[in-house]
Amino acid sequence: MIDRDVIGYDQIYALGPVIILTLTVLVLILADCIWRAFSRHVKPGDVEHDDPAGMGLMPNLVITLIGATAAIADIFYLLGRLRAGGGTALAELFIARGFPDATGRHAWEAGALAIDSFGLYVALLGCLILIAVSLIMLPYLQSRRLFRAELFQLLVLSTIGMLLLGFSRDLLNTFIAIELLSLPLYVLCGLSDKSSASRESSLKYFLLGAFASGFLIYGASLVYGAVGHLNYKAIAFYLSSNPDVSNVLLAGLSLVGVGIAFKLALVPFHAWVPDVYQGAPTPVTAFMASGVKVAMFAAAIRLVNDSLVGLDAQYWRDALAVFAILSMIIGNLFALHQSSVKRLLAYSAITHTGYLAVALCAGGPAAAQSLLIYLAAYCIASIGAFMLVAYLSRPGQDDVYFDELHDLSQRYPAASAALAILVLSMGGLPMTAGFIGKLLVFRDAWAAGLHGLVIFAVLNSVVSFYFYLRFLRAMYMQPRVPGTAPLEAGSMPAAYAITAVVSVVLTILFGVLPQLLVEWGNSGVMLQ
Amino acid sequence: MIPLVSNSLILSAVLFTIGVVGVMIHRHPVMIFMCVELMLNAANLSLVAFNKQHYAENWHAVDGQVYAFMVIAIAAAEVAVGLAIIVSLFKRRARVDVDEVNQLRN
Amino acid sequence: MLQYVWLTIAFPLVGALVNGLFGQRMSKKASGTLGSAMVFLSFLTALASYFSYKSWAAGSDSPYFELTLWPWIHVGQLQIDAALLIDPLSTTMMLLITGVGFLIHLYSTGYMSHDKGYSRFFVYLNLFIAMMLILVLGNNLALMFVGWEGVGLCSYLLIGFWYQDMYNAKCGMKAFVVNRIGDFGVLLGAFILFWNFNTLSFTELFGNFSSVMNSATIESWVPLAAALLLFLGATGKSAQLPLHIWLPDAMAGPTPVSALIHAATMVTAGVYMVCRLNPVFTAAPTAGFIIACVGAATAFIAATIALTQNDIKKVLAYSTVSQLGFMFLACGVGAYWVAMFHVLTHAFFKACLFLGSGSVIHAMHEEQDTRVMGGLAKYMPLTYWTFLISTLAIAGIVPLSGFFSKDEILWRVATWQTQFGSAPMILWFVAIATAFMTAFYMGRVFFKTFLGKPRWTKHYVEHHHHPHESPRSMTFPLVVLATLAAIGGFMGLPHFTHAPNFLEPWLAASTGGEEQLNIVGRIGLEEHGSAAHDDHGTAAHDDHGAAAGHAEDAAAHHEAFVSFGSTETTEIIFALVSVALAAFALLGLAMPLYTKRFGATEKLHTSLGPLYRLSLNKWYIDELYHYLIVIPGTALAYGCWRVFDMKFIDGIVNGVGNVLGWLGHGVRPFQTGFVRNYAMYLLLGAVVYLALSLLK
Repeated sequence: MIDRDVIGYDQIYALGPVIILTLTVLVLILADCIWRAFSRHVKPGDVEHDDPAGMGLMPNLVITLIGATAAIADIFYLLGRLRAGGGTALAELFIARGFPDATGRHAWEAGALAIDSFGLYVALLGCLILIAVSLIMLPYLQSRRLFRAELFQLLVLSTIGMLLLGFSRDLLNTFIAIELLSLPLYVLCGLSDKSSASRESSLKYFLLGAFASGFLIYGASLVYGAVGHLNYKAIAFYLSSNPDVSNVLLAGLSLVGVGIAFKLALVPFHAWVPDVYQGAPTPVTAFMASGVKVAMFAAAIRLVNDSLVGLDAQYWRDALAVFAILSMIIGNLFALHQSSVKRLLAYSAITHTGYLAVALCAGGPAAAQSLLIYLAAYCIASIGAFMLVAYLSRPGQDDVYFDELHDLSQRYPAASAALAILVLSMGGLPMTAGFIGKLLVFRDAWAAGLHGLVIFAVLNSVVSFYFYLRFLRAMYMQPRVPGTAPLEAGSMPAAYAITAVVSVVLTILFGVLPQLLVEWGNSGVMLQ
Repeated sequence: MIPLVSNSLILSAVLFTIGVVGVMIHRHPVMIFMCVELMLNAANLSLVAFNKQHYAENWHAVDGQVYAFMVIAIAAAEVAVGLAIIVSLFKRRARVDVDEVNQLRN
Repeated sequence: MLQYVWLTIAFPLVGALVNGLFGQRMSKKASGTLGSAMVFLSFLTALASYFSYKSWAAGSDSPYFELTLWPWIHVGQLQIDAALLIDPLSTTMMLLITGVGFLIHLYSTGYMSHDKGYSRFFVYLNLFIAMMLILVLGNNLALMFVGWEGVGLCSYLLIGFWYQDMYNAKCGMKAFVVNRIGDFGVLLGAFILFWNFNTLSFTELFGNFSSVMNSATIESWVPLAAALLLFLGATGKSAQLPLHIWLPDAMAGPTPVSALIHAATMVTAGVYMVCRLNPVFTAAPTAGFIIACVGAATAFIAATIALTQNDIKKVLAYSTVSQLGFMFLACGVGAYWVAMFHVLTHAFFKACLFLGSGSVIHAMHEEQDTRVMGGLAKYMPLTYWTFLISTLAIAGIVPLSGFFSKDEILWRVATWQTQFGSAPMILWFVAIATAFMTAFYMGRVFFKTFLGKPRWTKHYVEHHHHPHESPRSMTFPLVVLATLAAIGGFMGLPHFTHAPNFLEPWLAASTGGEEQLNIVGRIGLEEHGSAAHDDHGTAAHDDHGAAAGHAEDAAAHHEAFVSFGSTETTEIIFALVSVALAAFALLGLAMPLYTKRFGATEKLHTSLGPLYRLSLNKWYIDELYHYLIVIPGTALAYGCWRVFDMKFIDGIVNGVGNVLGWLGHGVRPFQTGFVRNYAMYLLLGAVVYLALSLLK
């Protein structure tokens, strides 16, 4: 029942951002080769000797930034064309069609990749995250004396996966994009090979991630068995034309859900999150907390909005609601007593996944918009917070403990204030960006009739303030623990300072003038 | 249903289960990884079998089989990354047992 | 000029920002001056807005001047603007906050002069002023909630300001946790209002309120549920039973903070909210009854506790709780302007008392125990006189401010028109008993501190010469506040004086318009099948000038409900009774007990047996005092303290905390660090997922 265009060559320009980033990776590899060829040193150890400031990493950073900026420029160009055209999507690539009926009309017709405004906004977010993370990567590597040029290539590759996830409307594409997103991350987690925690996080993430993707692809094969196609529109068409849902399809969708829920870190698929977040190099943690979340929620909302529309909500919403509730409870409970800041932020990320899953339960274009807004606010806060952890942590340790934060406001008033504002935004304090995200997400879920879930989520967000306030208490209200050496972070490198200022300013700006963010989110889905 | 197809589907389900159970019981990362591969191959087998079931008359429709190739390619990439990670662990310790890798916990 | 009213918020915000960013590099003098100057500018702006509002209101039908600054959140039906609401209520609060706030900033420049965190203190204080102004000026519940949370945060930071002492940090935490319970109530109350009225804006809410209510599309539980949930928030913020426990602990913060936040402004936010949303509360008579009861109970219990405290700030803290109870009592009986009247006078005399106590603590080198004070009058005359005036004011001695506002509350309670039978009478007795105790404990603290023999000599001579009067930056605010505490009551003279009452017609524009009272009428009609409720209240606000006429009119209409009769003579008698009681408590009981016979109470506490050795004819009266008043009082106070503070409420708060903490610890073993366990969770999740979607 399939008829297809193999490829829309005339529309390939719509993949511009992806192509630009791919070229960036190639240039990065080439630059690395050239640099190594012309440098007298072959082993990284020698480089360390010769280049104590790590300036050899500078070209990589510059190339990455140029690539990401070019991609952003292209995204704005594409958005402009999209607005001028006025259609729902700029281009559909790799279009497939259902067989025509007697009148010659196709039952469904859809591309495996849809370059629409939603996808373009996800791509924009991805490129911005790439810029922020590469910026904080440089001083981090310099302070840790880790001169690894390949990690910029890996970061960009992972970002390409993010972009493709935002565009993808086909289960196989989604699977490939998830792998493209994850494989570089497995390596990035183990980046600091001097640290056993880093290696351990890499192994755990890899083994569990591969396990989860096994579920995902097996689920996809069952969906294929039931529907005969993996395109979301095909699934939606099948669901609308077959009122009795087959168990094979339900089982398949559930297993696909398991694979996605693993990457989203919904409880009980979350167990890797605290260990991996803690062990991974902090900028990589920042990338996981922001980029992976954005991409996976984009994929999840596409799946819900594009393919599950015809399915009775009880088949998928109940399970999702259970996992959302569990995520909120478990995330909050575990966060209460953490002594490590990175672990606490990891559990708080699980709680946030719970709130976001509430919006996912609601579904629909409004929820897609609210998700984008919430994620933007959350990314700003979490990149900023992890950046501050990277800045404050001792070189050998790669984590900060609450004991060490005591009395920090006396010695690093600016960093303390920034961290306080960012975690309060995560908690959803009014007049910060985080509050707007929560407000919109809860409003959508309420409008969708999920009243109990919303009340539960509000209660949880009230409770979660308790552990966000631990930051304020430690930094502003507790004297230094006798016997602990104070953190010696030195003066803030420029890249950190830029990220900190931008994230704090945006957090407050979007809190005071959320209309900027709301309209941004609006245009992200209006045309969908 | 063609017996070949249904038998293949049963086989694929069995393979998947063996893979899942294997991940649970093995302690060596390479063995765990092999079991994950088994899960991917179970998916491949069922993709091919379902393709046969859906498009028995249409020899040009080979989506499922192409999907299987893509999965194989992905699996190969996973092997490259995974073995590298495991080897980097091997470099530090004589014996690798996932139950000994639990420095990161509450 | 009204367009620039936002400047009043912007000034302290700028002050906080500049002090926060550059405070550590500025001299103490510069950062203190900056902080105070910003609040002073804010006060000038508020004053200018007041006058321009007056002239604006003269030519306008509506009392509400709405200033939309920018569209805040516009999503679908949710339309929230960053808008300010200028009306008599918010203008009054704005003047109070900036005026008293400025005086306390000034005082702090002296009080905190030796503190390390000087500029940090002014950052928090300025931020607090800005947040408090957002709270009272916001034209919608969302913006009010921003201020509500903001002042909570500032209060939390200021209570734990001297965090080197772990106890202080814990007190700050307690305040925050208790307040979160209340905040949850505010959020849910706001949600209920939004779902039913489709707006969070005050002006839109008031505009539609009567029509929506009369059209009966709203179920009857809605106003009650909204009112009670909002009141739960007020209970937390304004330290009412059963959430009052944080306020006495909040005294761990610096004294200017106690004066500004925990006496004059923040804790009255709950009262402000009830007055602001008075149509909602008026529409739910049961809620009014509950508020009145909670207010009266809080007033009474807090007063009994204040009787026996030795820490000067603890007495004032419980006194604040008690006075806030009076304000809620007034709110509960529907006398919103009277509640605001008491907010004002209380702000004057209680801020003065707290600052005076700060001056004493300063002079005594951080000593807060009144048992080792005494005889300070001659060393610090200004503090002594201002403290005296404020003590007389809070005790309700004519013609100081406290008399007028408290007497008005008592009168309103006595003449309350309600379906709850003899509630007015009971509440009135509770209130008058509380007023009596107030006079006594304030007399006690005053006499113990300033009169009698100095009990600090021995401890003191070792280190210093003698206590000294505070610097001028600290005494100037005391003098201003004492003056206000003395004359502030003339804003709202009672009806029987036939003098013009300035406050009532001014505030009535926002707290007692016709519309709201019509709703009361409707509900009264529905619930009782009689029009009995309708026009008493209306009359009260119609005939501002001819008060006597209103009283007679009301009495004629509602004999069945009026407990004490409502004639002018009764009102005068009531006033005389309360003044006489207060004077007796102060001069007859507290003065002899705590000046000449000082130590008798303590001796009694330690040993009851040796009493007979004391001179008979002189001690006979004292004994009577003790058996009749002090011992039952102590027992009652101790009992209240045991039951309400220690066991019951602390138990609940700690219990919840412990359960959460225990759960938090209990779940930790699940995070084993073993990959295979994690894989197992994943598999279990997959099984649950499959089961939930397949077993339908």
